Amino acid sequence: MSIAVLGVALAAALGVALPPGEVRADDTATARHLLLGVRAFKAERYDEALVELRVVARAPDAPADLAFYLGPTLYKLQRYDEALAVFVASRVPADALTDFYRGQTYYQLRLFRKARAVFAELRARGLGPALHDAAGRYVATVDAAYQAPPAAASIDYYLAAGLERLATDPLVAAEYLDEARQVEALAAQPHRHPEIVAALAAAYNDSGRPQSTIALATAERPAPPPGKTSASPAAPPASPSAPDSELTWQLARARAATGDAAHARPLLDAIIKSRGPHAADATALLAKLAP
Amino acid sequence: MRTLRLALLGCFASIAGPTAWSAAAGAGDDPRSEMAAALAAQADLSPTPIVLPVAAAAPRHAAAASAVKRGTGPRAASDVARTADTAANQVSLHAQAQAASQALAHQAQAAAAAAAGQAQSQAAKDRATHPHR
Repeated sequence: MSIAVLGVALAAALGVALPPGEVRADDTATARHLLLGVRAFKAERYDEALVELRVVARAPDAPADLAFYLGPTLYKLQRYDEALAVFVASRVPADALTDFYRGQTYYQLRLFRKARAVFAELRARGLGPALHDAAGRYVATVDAAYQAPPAAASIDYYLAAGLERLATDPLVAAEYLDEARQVEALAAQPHRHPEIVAALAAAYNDSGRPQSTIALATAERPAPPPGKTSASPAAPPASPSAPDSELTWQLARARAATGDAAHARPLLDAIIKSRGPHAADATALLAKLAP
Repeated sequence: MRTLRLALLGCFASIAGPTAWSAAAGAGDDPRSEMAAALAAQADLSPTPIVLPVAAAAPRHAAAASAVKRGTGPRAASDVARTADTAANQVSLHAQAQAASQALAHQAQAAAAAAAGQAQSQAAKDRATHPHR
């Protein structure tokens, strides 16, 4: 039986039928380039596929699901960082095949906890038999590597990789920092936890995801028990350390970005009063807040 | 063989339902279906063995501290520490490609330690050569 027949049948089983508004191989130049890219991918001429898909990416009528084509092509070219950037920047819900390649990309970048989560979710979601078994093998391999608690040096690796990318690519940095957070959670002893959380919050804010920052900070600083009052559900500690101050600043930024002036203002006041490294930024942000 | 093929396709069709089946049947007509078939056929089904990556965090601090003591900029020291990181992770990557053996993981750590030792040794030599710095 040919691989192509199996592939088509498997694709059908995974429910990758055309979503509404999808580009078909009609007469537009973009559609022609897309089809050429797909044909090159099929023939395993990935360099050629990338050239065609880059043309598609630049077109004003580029399909919304470009990650479905471009991400796996970059993966096959072993350009894993770029593939990850494409996958995480995609704004359309991913189908099972795109997620499978995203999982493989995490795996190659040694973001093993992130890969495990994708493959475990895919198995729960339902895959064709071949990919279901493969996803199970990925999960089992990661689990075997984490049978013993991870070393502090592994956490350091992910934190350093995230911090290195924070200024240039916060979206990808967040992936490394989230991996650091997950690996640290499995460690025998806490290790640089406040630093990881503060850096992850910064990456979320810098990549335009203030809601993720708020969720993260709220999980770190749960709301006070009933009867006790607090300026904010995620109030800063009385005498904050440097990472705590950073997390407070990131939370204030996130609150301001979501238009939640009522929660942003007390946080900014506290930062200004502490005269910490973000005092000037906090003053400027406070001035911009709606009364 | 033909029976097996028909049975498998029938099985997929029954799982996916009529919409997906018609998409598969018309796979030659639209890029998405063609791509989906290629993706499924070219997926890496067998994961390579893994070794968790490590950073040489402690040597970096030691090298940086030495540089501060010498009154020199931290750049050279951090370059050396970065080399140690790179060495460790190159060995780690190699180990991942070859096999997930504990021995290779130890090799990665040993390479990091060796590079860090060299950094500290170089820093000590610098101090000895330029004690007034």
